[in-house]
Amino acid sequence: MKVMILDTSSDYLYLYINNGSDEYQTILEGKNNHSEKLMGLIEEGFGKLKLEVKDLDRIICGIGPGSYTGLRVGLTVCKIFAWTFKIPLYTISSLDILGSGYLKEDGKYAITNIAKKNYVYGKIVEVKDKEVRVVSNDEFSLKEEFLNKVTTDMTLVNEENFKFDSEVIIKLAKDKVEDIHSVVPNYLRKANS
Amino acid sequence: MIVLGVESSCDETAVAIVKDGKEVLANAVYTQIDIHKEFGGVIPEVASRHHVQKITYVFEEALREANITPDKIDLVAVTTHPGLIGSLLVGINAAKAFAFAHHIKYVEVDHIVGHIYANYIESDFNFPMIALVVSGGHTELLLMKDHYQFELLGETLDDAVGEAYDKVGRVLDLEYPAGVKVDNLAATGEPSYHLPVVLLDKDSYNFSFSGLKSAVINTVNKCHMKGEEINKADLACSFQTSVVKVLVSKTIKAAKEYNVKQIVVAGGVAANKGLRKGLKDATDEIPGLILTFPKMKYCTDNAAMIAVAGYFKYILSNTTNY
Repeated sequence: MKVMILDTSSDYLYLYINNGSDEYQTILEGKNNHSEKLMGLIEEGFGKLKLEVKDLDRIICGIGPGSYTGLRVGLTVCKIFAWTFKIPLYTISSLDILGSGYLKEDGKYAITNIAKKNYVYGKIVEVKDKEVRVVSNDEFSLKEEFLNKVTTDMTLVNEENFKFDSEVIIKLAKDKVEDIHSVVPNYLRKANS
Repeated sequence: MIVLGVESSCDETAVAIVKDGKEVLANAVYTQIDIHKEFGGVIPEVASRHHVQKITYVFEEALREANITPDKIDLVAVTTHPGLIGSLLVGINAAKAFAFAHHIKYVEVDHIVGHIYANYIESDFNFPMIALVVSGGHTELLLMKDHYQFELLGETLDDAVGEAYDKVGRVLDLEYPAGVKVDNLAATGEPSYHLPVVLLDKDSYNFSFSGLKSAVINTVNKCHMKGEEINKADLACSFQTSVVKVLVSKTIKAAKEYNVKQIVVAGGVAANKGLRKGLKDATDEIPGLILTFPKMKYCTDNAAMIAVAGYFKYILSNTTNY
């Protein structure tokens, strides 16, 4: 299966592409400049894999929560690719993507991404026998409040130790978008909040 | 050459398809005016959210209207500046993604240049010419000696003219966006209020509208304090008369000094009937001087103007990479 995965919700731009046999993956750290880098990386990835956008079987996009601008940059590119070639588009929580590298091992994981000052986006998941179960869903909270929920048996995943795994992401991305036009980021907050 | 233009610099999500810089095959625009009305102005985050929600709809509508498939498009042109950064990034990334996916060349366009080139849809350009750019965000007077050659003669030192219209509209209890409403109200009044005509230095092509705007606000406040009724139509007419005097006098002065063949007016305020009449009356007295305004639908933000500007930028070999 030829897949592209994109997440631009955090300071890390995550792009994964495969052409059915070879893979391209990049994790680029940046501050508010994903838009400048993204299409160059996509061009590089498709070029190296000798793959055309139209040949993708599936696009998986991190839908948020996270940086408002970052989310729009990534989702806009995914929407255009999916719409123009009628490629199935799947969305997944960006927090699942940021913690995907951990979700092969049994355990409890509290995954966070920085929101505005003193606030985080966070969720808690448990992995048992390779199945991922959501303990508490994506939320926007005071950092202190969220960290109070993190118990000693949990692994805390944050911007210091994000880890990505394309195989896990593909497995977890089950939300197929029915109407590509209307899909929007999961901001979790109102525009004026 | 068929160019697909994309515009998202403020509160309009727009995609247009234009042939050879002239023939508009499609002009799809989704406007958020009704959404921003309740706030009395554009809220950047709200605008950005609506752009991402509408962008593929607008692409699809443009392709359908032009009855064209992506493989027939030769160039993608997109507004990259100036504007609201969050809004711009949606259009930029959509344009880049579409161009890359279909192996189409890509060019970046200045929004102000786009407004100027909206005139080319109506009339060829006769150089040298003066471009008067008047909108909610910009007031500039430019000299163009050829395509894509711009010399800034003057600009506003404070409020853009369209911004002054919106603020005056607010004190006259007119709904945002107030430009057209002030213009319509002005047509029913007389210039009976004494308001300043701010020309700055006699050799300057710069503009200033904040003093005039403040004079209107002060007039309203004084009337309220004295318990006097304001004649809103007369106040709107007085304001518009001052604005038009300034814009016309500087534009005509520049046209004479640089001996131009044409004046083009660009931006949302180019739709203003008072300004259109003022400039027409003044240019009628100068034999051979051509005056051009865009059609009303190309005065406000649209992507046809971006496609036209992109066409000329491309044929002058200024393409860019993703």
